[in-house]
Amino acid sequence: MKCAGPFWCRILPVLALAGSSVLAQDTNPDSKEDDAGGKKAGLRFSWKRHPTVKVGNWLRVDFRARMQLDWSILDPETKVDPKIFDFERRRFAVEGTLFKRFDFEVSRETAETDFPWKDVYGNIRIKRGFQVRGGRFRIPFSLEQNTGPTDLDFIERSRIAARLAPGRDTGVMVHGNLLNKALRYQGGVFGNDGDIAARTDNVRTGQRTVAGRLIVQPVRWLPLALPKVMRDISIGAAATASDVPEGLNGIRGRTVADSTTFPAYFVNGTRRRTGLELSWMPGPFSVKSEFIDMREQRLKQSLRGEDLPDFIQRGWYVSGSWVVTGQKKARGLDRGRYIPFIKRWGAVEVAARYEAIRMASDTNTGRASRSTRAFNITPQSDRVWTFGANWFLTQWVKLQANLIRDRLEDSFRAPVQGVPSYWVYKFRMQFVL
Amino acid sequence: MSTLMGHFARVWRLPALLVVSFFPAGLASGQEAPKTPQDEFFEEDSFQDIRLEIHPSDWKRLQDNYLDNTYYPANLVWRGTFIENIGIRSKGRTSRRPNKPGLRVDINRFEDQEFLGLKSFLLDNNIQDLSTIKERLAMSLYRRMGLPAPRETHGRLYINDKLIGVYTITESTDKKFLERWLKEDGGYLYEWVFRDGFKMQYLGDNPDLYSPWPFKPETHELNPDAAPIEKMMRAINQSTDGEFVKAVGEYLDLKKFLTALAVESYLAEFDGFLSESGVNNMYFYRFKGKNLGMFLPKDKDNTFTEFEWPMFRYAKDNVLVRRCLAIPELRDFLFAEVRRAGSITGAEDGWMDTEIIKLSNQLREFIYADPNKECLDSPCTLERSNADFEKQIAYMRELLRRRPAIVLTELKALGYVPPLPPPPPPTEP
Repeated sequence: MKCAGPFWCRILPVLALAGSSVLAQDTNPDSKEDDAGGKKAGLRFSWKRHPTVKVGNWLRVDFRARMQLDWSILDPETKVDPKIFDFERRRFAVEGTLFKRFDFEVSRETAETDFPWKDVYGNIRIKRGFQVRGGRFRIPFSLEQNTGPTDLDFIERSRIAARLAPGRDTGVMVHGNLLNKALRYQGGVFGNDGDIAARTDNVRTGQRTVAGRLIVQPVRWLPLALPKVMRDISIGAAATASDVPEGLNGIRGRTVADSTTFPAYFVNGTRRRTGLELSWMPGPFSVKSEFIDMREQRLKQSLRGEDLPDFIQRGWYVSGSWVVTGQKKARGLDRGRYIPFIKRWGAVEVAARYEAIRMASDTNTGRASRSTRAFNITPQSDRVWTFGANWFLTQWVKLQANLIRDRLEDSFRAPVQGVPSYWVYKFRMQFVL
Repeated sequence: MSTLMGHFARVWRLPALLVVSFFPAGLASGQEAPKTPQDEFFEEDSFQDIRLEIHPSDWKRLQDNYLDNTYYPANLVWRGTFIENIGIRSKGRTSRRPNKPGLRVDINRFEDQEFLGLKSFLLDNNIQDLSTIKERLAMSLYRRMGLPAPRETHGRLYINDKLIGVYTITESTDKKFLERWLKEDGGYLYEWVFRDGFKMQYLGDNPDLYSPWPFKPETHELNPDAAPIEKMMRAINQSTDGEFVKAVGEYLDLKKFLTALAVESYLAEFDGFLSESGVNNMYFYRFKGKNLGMFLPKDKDNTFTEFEWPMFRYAKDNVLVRRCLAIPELRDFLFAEVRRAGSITGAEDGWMDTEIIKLSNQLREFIYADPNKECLDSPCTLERSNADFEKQIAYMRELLRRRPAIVLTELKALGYVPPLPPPPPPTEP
């Protein structure tokens, strides 16, 4: 049967699937567990959480899809041609395991995006504590940036994760878990400095990038007699370094609604990122926090060719969530919970986040200016409150609603000049296969 | 050559003088806006040296990417006044060049600051006008006809102390301009973006069909409110002849429009309201809290096209002009305004001819030294470009001599009856 148009061709099966899933009983979400003891020979097909093909014990291939439909209202409106509805993600992926030691993933975004190829990599597990990954994947920096878009507590990532973390690039990384998973390390070399640091013409601004990330669960590791609920506390640190060629290559500042509040500045030299992160998920609660500091050198960038003080972007966030229906956050919320009279009702979570990001030069001497070659850059900061509610209807369907308040320090560079505060109302419908 | 031109001029002097007498004298109102602090900058007899400090790699980037509108930071120096952290970008449509880019100088690009009360000004590279003075003369005529038009002067541009060339310095049509001329700036200003083949046809009842293209909002960008434009276009296209003046007059100051049309028509403009390929080079301003608006002139360096350039060659293709010409009241007003434009312009030794002589003498030395000006033919050498400048000046003067007769002939062909000369004074018996 032919479809009337490409949009409905794609969306109707998904909606049908979603509808059926709402009515369905939950199935085992982790089909990998199902595979663990399998010793059957030959070609097998199964569809639990997503379609899977297995060949004996040596090959497993999963077919995945992620779709996110967003509705956004801005107050005041900042765009001439506002788009209330957006098909934010329409991503398809193939991932799997070969000979139980080689993992792979190929994913491509078919919604509007600057970089359609997402994760394209292979991973060899030499030991649990020593694995090598090569290809295109997320540079190991930032807790939230390394969390998949369908697993976020809020519709949008925090400003620091969305703007200061590098995102994906092509490279090689060694990683692994040590000390009974109490210590996790990641370190790699990448061709560039990530998709997020690309200019508007999609040319990546950073050159060869070295990145490293270390995450520890100190309570698990240290012989401390602390309550069991604290075993999940993990803290981490990460850093990247890359050279940035001379040009308008500074990282732009943007609001949650993607309006520029700080333009690209002239930089030249080394770009360094330093990050700290904290994550704790005690029972139905979670607390997450990050701090990122990014410095970009501006060698010989004054109008007369002299060195300028470093350009600094720095920010943090603290977020908390509570699963009202009581499930344990750390185990995932995609399994429904039986609620009397209402019967299967999924999981409902409320969350809040406060964050700040500030952009300025490494000096406050001299006359402050917004010029892209200013000695003392007029600072800009964005402080954002986000309040959200998440409803996990089934393992496939999630609804999210966010109320967001942006407040800018320098309204001269605001999306509507002179207006410092913005409300954003967002609603997302998510389907994950 | 000069002998030939002199003969040419003498041959045309007498008829031109005779024809000029058909145009009412003494109508040069000279209505100028009140003096402001930036008058010194745009002073008629001055010649400015504009110096810009810019990072050398930015200048190279601007030249390499001269078709882009990327802003680069710079410092401005003018007669001891130093303004830091301004923004400059390449500007223009077909006149963009890498070696002598036209520039928009945005004083408040990065800072909430002004330069002599200006938020910005333009540096026109005069690529399409080898005389370099056509636009300045045309804008001056608009003002003398009582219409708002940007002030202009000439100057040399230096980038990091290196001479780039002679530029026309043009006042921006922005809120400052509106406030100075119209005593308000809260209305809706649109820049006309050329749309091939668009000659004021009605495109439909959706306002989005008219803005942002060709009516590109310059103010109220987030809410351009093009509904009155759609209504204006509907009135222009769908009102009956009997309703036309009232229906269109609610949205467009028809008299000011016809006066502006008279100026560009008299000056043989080929790239304006009556261009062959579509309406071009103007702004439109709708007054605050009203439906009424008016056109404002822009980029008049394509005037002085040909001696015999017919004023209304493409009038039948343009809905607004065609309909105005069909209504006697408006047609008579337009023809009278053409006469007035001719009267103010004058012929040989008239106001504009005197201006051409004055300006060309004033600018000759600087233009001769301009290393980046262009020629009519390639290869372009400095000598050849200087000769082309002189040819253009001579051509413009000749056009002024010949234009009155040509214009009068065209007006007569359209049914214009020149008024009788005033009766002679009574003589003593």
